[in-house]
Amino acid sequence: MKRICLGIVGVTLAMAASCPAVSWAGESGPAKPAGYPSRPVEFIVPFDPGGGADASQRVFNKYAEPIVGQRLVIVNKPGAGGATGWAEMVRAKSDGQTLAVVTPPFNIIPALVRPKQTGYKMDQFTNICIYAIVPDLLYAREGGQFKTLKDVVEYAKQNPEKTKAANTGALGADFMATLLIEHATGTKFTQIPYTGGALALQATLAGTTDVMVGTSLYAMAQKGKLRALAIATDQRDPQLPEVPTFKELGYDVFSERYRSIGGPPRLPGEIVTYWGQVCKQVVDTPQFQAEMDKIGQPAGYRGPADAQKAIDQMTRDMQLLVEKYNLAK
Amino acid sequence: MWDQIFAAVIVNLQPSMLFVVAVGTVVGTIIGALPGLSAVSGVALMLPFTFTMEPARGLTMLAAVYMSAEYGGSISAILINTPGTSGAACTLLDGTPLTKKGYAQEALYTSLLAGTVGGAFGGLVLLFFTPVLADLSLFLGPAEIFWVAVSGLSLVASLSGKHIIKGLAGVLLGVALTVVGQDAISGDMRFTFDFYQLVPGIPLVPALLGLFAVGSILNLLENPEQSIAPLVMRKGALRFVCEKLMGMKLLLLWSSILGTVVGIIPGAGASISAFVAYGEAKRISKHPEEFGKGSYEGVAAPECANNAVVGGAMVPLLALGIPGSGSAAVMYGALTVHGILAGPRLFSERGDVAYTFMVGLMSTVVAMLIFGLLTIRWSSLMVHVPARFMVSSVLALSAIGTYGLRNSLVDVYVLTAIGIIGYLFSKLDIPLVTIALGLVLGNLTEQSFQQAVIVSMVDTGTAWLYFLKRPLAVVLMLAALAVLGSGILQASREASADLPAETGSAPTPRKRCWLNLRAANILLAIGFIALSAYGLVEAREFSERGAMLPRLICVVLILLAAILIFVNANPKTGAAQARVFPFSEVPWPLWWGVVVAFVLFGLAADRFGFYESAFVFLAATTWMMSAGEAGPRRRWLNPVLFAAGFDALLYVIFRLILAIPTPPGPLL
Repeated sequence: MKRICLGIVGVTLAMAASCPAVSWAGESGPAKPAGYPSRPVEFIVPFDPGGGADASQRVFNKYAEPIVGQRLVIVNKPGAGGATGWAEMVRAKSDGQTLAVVTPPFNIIPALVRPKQTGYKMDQFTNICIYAIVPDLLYAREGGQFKTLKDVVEYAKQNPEKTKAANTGALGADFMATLLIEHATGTKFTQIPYTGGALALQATLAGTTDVMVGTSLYAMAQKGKLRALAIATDQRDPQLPEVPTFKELGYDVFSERYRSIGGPPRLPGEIVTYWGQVCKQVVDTPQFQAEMDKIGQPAGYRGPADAQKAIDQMTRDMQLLVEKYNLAK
Repeated sequence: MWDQIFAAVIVNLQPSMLFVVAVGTVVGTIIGALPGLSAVSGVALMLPFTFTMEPARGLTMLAAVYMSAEYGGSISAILINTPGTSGAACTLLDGTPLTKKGYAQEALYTSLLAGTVGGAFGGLVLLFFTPVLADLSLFLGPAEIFWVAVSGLSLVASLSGKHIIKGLAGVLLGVALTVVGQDAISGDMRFTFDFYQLVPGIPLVPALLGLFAVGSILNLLENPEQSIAPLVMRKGALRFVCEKLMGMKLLLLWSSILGTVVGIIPGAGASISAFVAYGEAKRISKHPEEFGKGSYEGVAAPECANNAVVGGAMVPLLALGIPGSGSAAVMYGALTVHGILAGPRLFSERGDVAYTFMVGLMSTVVAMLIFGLLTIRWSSLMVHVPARFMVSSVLALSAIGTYGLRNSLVDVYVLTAIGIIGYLFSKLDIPLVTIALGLVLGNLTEQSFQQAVIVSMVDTGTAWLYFLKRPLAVVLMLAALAVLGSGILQASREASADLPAETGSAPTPRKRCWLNLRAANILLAIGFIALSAYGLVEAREFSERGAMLPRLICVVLILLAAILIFVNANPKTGAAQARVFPFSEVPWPLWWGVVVAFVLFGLAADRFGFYESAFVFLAATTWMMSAGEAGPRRRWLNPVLFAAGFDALLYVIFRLILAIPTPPGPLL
């Protein structure tokens, strides 16, 4: 009897799930899978409140909530550069009630460098969409010995391992971006790890370290104190027209971070499609773009398939660096 | 500048502004007093509410939470020996003894008034000296920070009293705990045993809470009928405290300065400032022997300093865009979301926000004082609660507070494990405060040292020249040596002063038990040696840089263990220890019952829901402790009613008000 009951419920659910368009036809916005989301959706932010990814996800949720028609609750689960929170995310039920902000390459590096101590594998992420693309810039202290990228490269070539670069923790994203710059310019810096962006910034402003990698937020907030030497994108940033790209200076450095939305493995396709559309609608909102510009994390959209492709490409790039510098522990 | 300040005062007197300050103060004091949730979590929890507010108003509310949480932490520290925030870990050393003597109210007033002085000092410094001090903070390199951390660690000598060997071992164990996890400098995975949950390391707040709260709660099991302490409601307690504090003006000034300076140092916050101020207070006090037994100075100094930190931490935040503490980082985020960039241009571009906020910080101090004065009479009634209710409720509260910190059950397991270890250690006379000292300063010391060595190698070609090349670093090095030297002097004086007293009055007659202190000490030392041996073997896998500190700890710990064995095995010095039975009073069946119930609670919370498990835990623990009660109503019904009531209270506070996403169960 029990089994029959369950069967009936199951069939009903399956039917309900297979005809999502019916009940929502006529409403504007993306087509919702039937009955989803039935309650507030939990967004794991695997960083401390107040950090970059936390800020961007809060802005995103503000614009996504009216579209979804449910509360989108942020749950901060910081630890190990995000890895702890993502490990919990991939263990959540694949019902679309638990999603996370995923910030490649932060999730890629531990999976490559220390797979045994990382609570997830890259193929366990269901990549839904990218909603912001944050380029890396190389900074030096204003008034210090380095005025241009050329100064840095020349000095570093003549004095190997004498250029001090602050990063936000060994084997983190800044560390990798700095390695990529060393690799592309044929130089060798000495990297000095700090625990977090604030302390790396303090070290660079205080002159303890010479250069550091950071987002465009510093170019705006620290104008007059920090000098942006180059940006690691294909084109110049319209907000920072005076900052040259590495490529125009002759170095093949391309380094970006994504703000993306990810879910547990085997997330139903219709939920992925749905969030992809929500994401597009949010990114297309001019106010969203303006707000993201203000926090130094420019909006940019990649749908489910493109997001997967971009993250796969980034994984391959990171893999090359890991092998080249023998970083795997 | 004055017209800007004047304009800011007007803004701050607006009713809407006063309202947010009041809300922030109430929330902050409560969150601070709740074990586990600390100032950072309070500020983070309030963050979403500020998004819809005007920037200056939202920021001031966060500051009110930050400020009053640093005071609120002392309430639970003083009354129930549980540090409400990590900055209150020192306050309980003298706060709890005062409470035990019946001076709970006086201790609370001391904390409140000293905190007000410190908070106001930090606020004034922020208002008038920000530009100067901000530039000063750029003189701080890793060498300077290393010596500041070392002078903090040097306090071990004056903090461990007559148990100097065990105090040193304690500080090493504390530092050893900070080694666990991924090393930020080398990237090495140290002692993670391939658990990804251990990669971020042992979290500070759960560890401190385990050491003090769980440890002291387990001590209450020894007499379940009693309440924590007698409470004597004296008339004129406030006046008495005012007079006391008037007598320590210099101490308050020095603690305020220390707190503000530590606040400015990037990466150092309330907990470090409290330790430094406490150590300094003991060092310069005319009555160092009263410390740890209920000294008002011992309560005033750390509480003054941890409130002064708030203003200090805002200096680099506002002037440089560098948040100097965890709470400041959240406030940086609040500014960013409003599109305001904290940094060198803040004062020129959004001077209105900056000044409104800085003046607002002063009004948060006033609000904290008023709210404190209104509530102290009521909060001090807490000590009346009988132990049988206290044990279960503090454990449940610590568990949910710890969970709320990072929404992680792993932290609850850390709390449990360290709590049990801390309890055993405290029975063996290892001063828990030294473990806390190591925990608080371990990472800062190691990281600043390694950073300085790397810089030194690049700049000077040697590993040490950089430490001597910088004048400020040399000054701080001498200060560290002075702290260490005077601490050792004091400790030796204390030891010799205590010696005749100890031999003269026989230790309180205790039941004999299978384990005396002498045997326990030897076992402990063997345990240290085994642990160190294991550490040395593991360290072979690390890089040179990552292996340095673990090796140092292991070698010194082996030496200390050898001394401990030598002293105890020697018939002359070991005989006195053989007459002490540290575990003779422990009611083992009850102890095991409570500990097992707590462990099961942590494990069950994930599967059966937090509040469901908490109910069962509360009821079971209270029932176990009510065995001596008369009548079935008191033995059976009361525990269940209490559990239901307290669980409902937890649900209202943590789920409905603070919206902490605990694991759901079938019912809640």
